[in-house]
Amino acid sequence: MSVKKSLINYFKKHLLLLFVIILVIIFVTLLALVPPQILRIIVDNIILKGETEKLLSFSILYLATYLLIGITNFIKELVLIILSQGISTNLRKEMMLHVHKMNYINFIKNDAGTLESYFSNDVDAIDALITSGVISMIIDSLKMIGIIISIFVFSTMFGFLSIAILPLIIFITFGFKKLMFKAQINNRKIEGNVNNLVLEGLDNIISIKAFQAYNYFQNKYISVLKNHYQTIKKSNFYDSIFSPIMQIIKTIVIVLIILISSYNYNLFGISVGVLVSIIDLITDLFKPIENLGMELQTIQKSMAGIKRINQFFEFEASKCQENNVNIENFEKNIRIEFKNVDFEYEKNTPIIKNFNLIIENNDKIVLKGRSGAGKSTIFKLISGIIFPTYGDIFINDISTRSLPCEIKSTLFSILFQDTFFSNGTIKEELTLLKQNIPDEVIWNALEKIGLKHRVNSLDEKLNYFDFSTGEQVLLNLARVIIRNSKIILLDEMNAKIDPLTANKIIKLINEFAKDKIILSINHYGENIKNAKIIKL
Amino acid sequence: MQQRKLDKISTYFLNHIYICISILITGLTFNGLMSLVPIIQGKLVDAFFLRDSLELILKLSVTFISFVIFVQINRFFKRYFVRLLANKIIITMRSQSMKNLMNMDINNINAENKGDIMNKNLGDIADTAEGIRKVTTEIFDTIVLMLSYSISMLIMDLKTTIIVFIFIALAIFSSSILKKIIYKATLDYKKEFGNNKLKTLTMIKNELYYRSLGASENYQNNYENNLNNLRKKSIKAMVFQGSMEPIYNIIAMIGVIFVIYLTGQKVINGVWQIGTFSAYLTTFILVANKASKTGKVFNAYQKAKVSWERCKPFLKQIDMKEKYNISGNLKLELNNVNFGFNDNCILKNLNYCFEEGEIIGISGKVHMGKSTFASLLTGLYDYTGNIYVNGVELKNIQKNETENLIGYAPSNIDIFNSSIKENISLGKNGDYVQAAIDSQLSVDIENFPQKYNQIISHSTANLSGGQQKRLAIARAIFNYPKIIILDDPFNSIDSLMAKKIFKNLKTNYKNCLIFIVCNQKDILELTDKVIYFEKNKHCLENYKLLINKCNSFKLLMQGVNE
Repeated sequence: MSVKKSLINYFKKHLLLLFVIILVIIFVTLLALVPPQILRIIVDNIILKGETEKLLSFSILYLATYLLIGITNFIKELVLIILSQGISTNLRKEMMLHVHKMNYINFIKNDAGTLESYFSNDVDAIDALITSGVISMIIDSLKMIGIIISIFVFSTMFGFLSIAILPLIIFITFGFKKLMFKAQINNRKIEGNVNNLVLEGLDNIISIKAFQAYNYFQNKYISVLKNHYQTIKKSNFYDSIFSPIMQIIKTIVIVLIILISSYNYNLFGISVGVLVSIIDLITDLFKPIENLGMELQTIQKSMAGIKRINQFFEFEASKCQENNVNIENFEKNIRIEFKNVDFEYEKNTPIIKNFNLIIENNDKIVLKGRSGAGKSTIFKLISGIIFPTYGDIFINDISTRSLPCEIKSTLFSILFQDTFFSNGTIKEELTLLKQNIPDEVIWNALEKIGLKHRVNSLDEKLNYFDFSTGEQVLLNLARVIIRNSKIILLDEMNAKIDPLTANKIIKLINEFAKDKIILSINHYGENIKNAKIIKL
Repeated sequence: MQQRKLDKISTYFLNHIYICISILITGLTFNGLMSLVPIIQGKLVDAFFLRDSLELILKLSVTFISFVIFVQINRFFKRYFVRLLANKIIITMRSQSMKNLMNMDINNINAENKGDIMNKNLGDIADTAEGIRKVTTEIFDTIVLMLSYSISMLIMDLKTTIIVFIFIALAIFSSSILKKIIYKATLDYKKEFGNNKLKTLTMIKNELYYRSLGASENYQNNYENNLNNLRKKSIKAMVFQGSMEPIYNIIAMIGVIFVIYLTGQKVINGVWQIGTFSAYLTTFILVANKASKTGKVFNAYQKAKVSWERCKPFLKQIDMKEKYNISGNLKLELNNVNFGFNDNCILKNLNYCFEEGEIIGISGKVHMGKSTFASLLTGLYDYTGNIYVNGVELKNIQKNETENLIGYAPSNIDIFNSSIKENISLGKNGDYVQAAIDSQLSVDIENFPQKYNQIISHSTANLSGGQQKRLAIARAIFNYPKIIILDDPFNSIDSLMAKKIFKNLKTNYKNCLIFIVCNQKDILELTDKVIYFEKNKHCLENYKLLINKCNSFKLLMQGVNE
């Protein structure tokens, strides 16, 4: 997947929208040229000829064109918003799909905040590309061409004149925008320093306070702020002077046109109406050029966003194979087999080597070993978070690489060391959004873990911070009870859980997991009935 | 001069009163004279139409250009000064908010609100300043400009102007009616946006859980629904915010019929010249444009207000600090002290007394409160009971000012983005080389290309674990503070070097009270006393006595886990 592909996919699905956009572009461009023409007619053919009776109808016509312009502009904005929102929504969907495929190691290397920033900052940049980038640029370029053509229609000489001054205006505009952009980048860099320093202050606040190094840090901050102020001054200057200069140039051009026209009235044969309209058109010519400079910047910025999102899509996917697996295979006995399994995160530092194990007949297995021996690696291997570097793991003769989501959701329950919640309702949290789970089953589970009295309705939001650490683990256990799956994996018990809760958890598991495979780590083991201990 | 309160917005204008006056003068000049530009341009067109002499037209042209240049120079200065003001405000606000930030109670800072604190200190301040700039600009460019255009229109043609102003007013009115809807739509959108951001973050965080439980697909569907919702809300908000302008413009432009019809007749009847007609028309179109943009003024004001309210608490005046002088032989007394970060390691009933010259080992198994005890001695955290330094409450000393009382090496060092020298001294004068020698950091500094001026970085510390530890020690012992607290200082330092450092501490820091968190037998043996933490228990003894008295300490020292 890439940004380009995502865009193509979107447009393929929304051909009508594309058509409307093209239509709008044409209309917006053409309509902008109409008012000066009407104005010329009003001045030359009506007012100067004294045709009062036609005046009203033409002034209504003049308004009507403005009405049309207003409406098309409104539609333009609307379509652009719909388009940009559609594209960014689509892109975010596809990015999240990529998250589901991403290799385990990517989650270790990048923290969630970093990954999230691709979804917000970079997609927003692409948003801007559409709303105020590419399409506006097309419209403005066309407008510019349209205006010059209109000037040609009025007067060939002024047509050539405007073509002659056009490069100058574009040169000045783009020159300034370039300077501004450079100053802005500088600003942003120093703005980054300011940010980092605040973060540094927050991170190091204990030392600053303990050593009472307030002045040291404050001075450091002020010197960066002053530096920031100096650079910003530069870009302020450019920002402030650009528009006044353009206005002065515009005036000079207008005066030039009037002077040339008055130099020899008969030679050029310019009527007042034409003159007024040309002045109008010249005034209009400056706007799109100014916009073009801005749009170019937006596009430049968005390009960086596109590049980053493409990098995001390049985060390696885990190597699983999509396979059609019959769900009936897993309805009776379950047999898990590790066959000559090697695993390493980095080359030549194997975590486990040549590991062989068969789990069947509702075995209860306890893994023991020092930390780093690979206990949790084995968990991750079974649940398909990671795959063996060498060898393979089979569940009922199907490799974990080919186990689809759907089957995993009925096959495994895992009680993790740390709890996790997703800001959902109680029902959503406990079922993990799995459909078709009757409410009684959920209430039943809540009763078993002894928290039924704390819940009023399954559809209320689960405020997990209202529950103690132990209760949060119990809620996670309720998930295991609800799933009622054939394989249960029990992670090491969190050090924060009090012994009472721990006993309760083990009792519950012993109760309902008689006919299930249990694989557990460390101290759960002592209390799980009929457990085999495997030392790693 | 009496300092003005920085959490009042007027302060910022009063502090930069000259800039404000300059903005006022240049702004009024520019916007006031702008309305004359179409009129002069109209005169030029008239001169063309009436076939005046080239000389006259030339004169008029020169006047026109000089006038425009004068107006635009004013405009430049107005724009520049407004930006200057905004940036001066940013500096003042930021440095004040940093003071407030450093003055914050440590107990109120945690991982969850770090982001919020950052936002208030950076984003909201920038937004407030930007808001002030925008509001000022809009007041001049919309309101003053519209007024000046209106006056010139009224002078040109009273009757027509009054008629067309009905529509201008209608446009402004309709934009203000929609204000509430816009506000609500924007709020809805922002809320949904926040939700979505949180959802994305949660999903990324939980992805591996979902994956192992086969729930990823369910959550993807849920996420897609959420995104579609967001899309609808954002389209609504954006349409109301940005795309209504053409509609207001249409309303305002209705008056153009009257402009052309009524003033056109004036030209036909010879009352007006054609140039006046074009000047009037141009001015009207400009006013109509401005009228459709009045919403911007409200928006800019609303936005600035929200940001200002958020960053205001960080702009409070900070009370003057009292200075404490600790003199005489140091005595540190703990009187019935209770303390705990969370439910896990609570320290209860601490009653101990330490004196200058002692080296105290702090020992115990994981999670028994060793580090907690060390951090307690910094006086920065909320404890109950009393900790007296020569009879003065430590909490009060640390809230105020003192010199060189505590040197603290936390288990994870806080590194500043600056040179080694500054990282040791934290900007204070003193013999940083000696501190580096005593902490054995000097051995490594010799190998740095820039020696003591080597820059190290806050985020990706370019120091090894052992170097970081020794830097922390060097900082803690720099300038011989009265109390030195070292939290697990010899971790990732080999025992030979650790002993050397310990020896240096013992010989060169005789006037200091030193605490060392550590479980290394060969170090603890050399201390004067050891404070040992067990579950719900603690005791202070000489090493040898403790070994005999306390079995779990003995086992710990033998390296046997229970």
